[in-house]
Amino acid sequence: MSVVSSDRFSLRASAGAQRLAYGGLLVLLCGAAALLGVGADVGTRTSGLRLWALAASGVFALAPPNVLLPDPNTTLLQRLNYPPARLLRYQLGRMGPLLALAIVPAALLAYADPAAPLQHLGAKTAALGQALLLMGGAAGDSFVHFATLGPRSQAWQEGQAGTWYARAVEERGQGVSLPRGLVPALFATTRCFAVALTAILVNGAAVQAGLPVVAWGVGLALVGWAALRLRRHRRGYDRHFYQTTAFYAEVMGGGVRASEREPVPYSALYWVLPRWRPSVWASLRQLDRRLPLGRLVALAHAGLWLLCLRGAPSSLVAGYLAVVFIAQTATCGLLATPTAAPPPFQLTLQSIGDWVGTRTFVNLRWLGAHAGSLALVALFDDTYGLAWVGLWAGVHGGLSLVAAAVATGAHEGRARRAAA
Amino acid sequence: MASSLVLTDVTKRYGDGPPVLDALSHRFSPGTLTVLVGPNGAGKTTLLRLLSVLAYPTSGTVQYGDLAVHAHPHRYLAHVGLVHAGVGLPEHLTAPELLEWILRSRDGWADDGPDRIAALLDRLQLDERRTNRIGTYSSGMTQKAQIAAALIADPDVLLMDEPLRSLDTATTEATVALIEDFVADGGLAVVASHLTDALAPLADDTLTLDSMSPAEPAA
Repeated sequence: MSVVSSDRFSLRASAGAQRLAYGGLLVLLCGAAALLGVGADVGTRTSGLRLWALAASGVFALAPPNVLLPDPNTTLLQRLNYPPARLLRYQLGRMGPLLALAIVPAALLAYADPAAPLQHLGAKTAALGQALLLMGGAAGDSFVHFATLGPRSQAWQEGQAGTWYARAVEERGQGVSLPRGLVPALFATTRCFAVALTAILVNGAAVQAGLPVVAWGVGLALVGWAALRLRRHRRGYDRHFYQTTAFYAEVMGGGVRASEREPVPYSALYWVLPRWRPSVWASLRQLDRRLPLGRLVALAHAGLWLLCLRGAPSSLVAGYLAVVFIAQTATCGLLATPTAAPPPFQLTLQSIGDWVGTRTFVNLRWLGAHAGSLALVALFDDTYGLAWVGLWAGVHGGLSLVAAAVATGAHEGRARRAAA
Repeated sequence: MASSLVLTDVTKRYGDGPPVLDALSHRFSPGTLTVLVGPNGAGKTTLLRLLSVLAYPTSGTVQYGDLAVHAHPHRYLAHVGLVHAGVGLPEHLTAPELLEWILRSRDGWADDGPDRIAALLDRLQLDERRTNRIGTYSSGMTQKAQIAAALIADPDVLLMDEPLRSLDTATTEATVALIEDFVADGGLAVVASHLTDALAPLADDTLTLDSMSPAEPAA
């Protein structure tokens, strides 16, 4: 028998479709960063890196429960019985691809300068270093906050905490349409982003005021605070891991009730081709239970309006829109997983081509909202016109198809090839 | 030698709905096999998930000896072997590789490791195709691999959810014999199974879960 090193065999980190999505997104983000950096002076690069850190912090504030939880390897980890510190390292490692999406484009934004590659290296490195500290701190803060949220979330979910919220919902009809146990996660997202935003604003003000100690110090403090909390939780991390994973498995994977939100009715999909309407309907119901995409799309467009109001260059707006559209269409990958789309069931129901069509229409659900938002921008900003709206509508349509084809090829396509 | 597994007033509800398990108190003793019985949705899987730290109780405690299992899952799981209702095995390993990984990860690997693995897989009648990847196994072969994974590290506690599902008659008998030997050596076994004919003769205790409980979620 061959000697097996446990390090040779990585736990299932991500399915094929997920890896493709990360890879594709990284290429696009790097391309956008390189384009934005061309011809930019050091001051513009510094501001760009700060904006990039802000965007990354927003993603980190949202990402952990969607990327890390529930953990797909839990039953295997039980069998291996990783000690607490190793569980912590394992979960931190799963944040790796997300960190790469933030760090690699940032490095390009700092250094991609074909006209003068070796000029102002010190200033470029300082700007990048501060941005990396801010992003690393935001990621660490968000990770430790969400990873230890299990007990509180479960208490909310089972009515043992958050009674003031339940009263507000019942008496005044206020509240978000989320399972009650996910409300602490919503508060956590807001808190994590607020902390990161404060740090970034302090950094910006310190750079403006010529206070390098404060500019560096705020990022170091954020990283240090996250590291301190991680160190405190390290010994008992097994309890946090299993309880938080158990909660998210109940709420996201196996809750008794399907959802507390009104699911999309079949009649609302009159705009979908009849051939694909049933599977688009089933797919949207699944996706809506997995991810509050409407809120994320709304948030993204709020960011777009903010950029336009601030008079951001059109290249920055184009890069931002590209990222938003790619991220939104990539969510169809959540439907191309064994739990959402068991391959034998999928291949029996319809052909691979039909699944590409289905997921294309799942993505096109947001075309109206995107086009409407861009039309509003064009209405109030003379820089942009209807042709610009039409162009981005076309880009969204193309991305919808490409993302659907990639996700379907990686999932049903792979299953078909394995069965052949 | 196993310690006792003690549930004290354990309640589990999903969301704010009615409880699936309601103030359940029970003592599972070492050297015994307890069979969980009850209709579908009665709470058998929920109870096993609580005992295996895949779920946390709404209230109440689960103690293994003097160890609160939900406060110290790593220390508790060091004594536990698990067979889940869902499979969840890595598809690109062979069964012997999986068992070796488990032994090494739990600091249980020794020079006789390969022989122990081979002997266990022989007893479970996992044939020469054991050197193929788990992803190519039939459901019965995968179930044998799961049972082997539960037993390879010599646990003190065995928690099994429908372990006899998909097994042929010979392997069912072999698995029952393994459970019998495990209990005879002082182990504590809790098994949920609809195949009560095979296990009833061995059972020291039967825990019947209420058919009036609301539906429990899928495992």
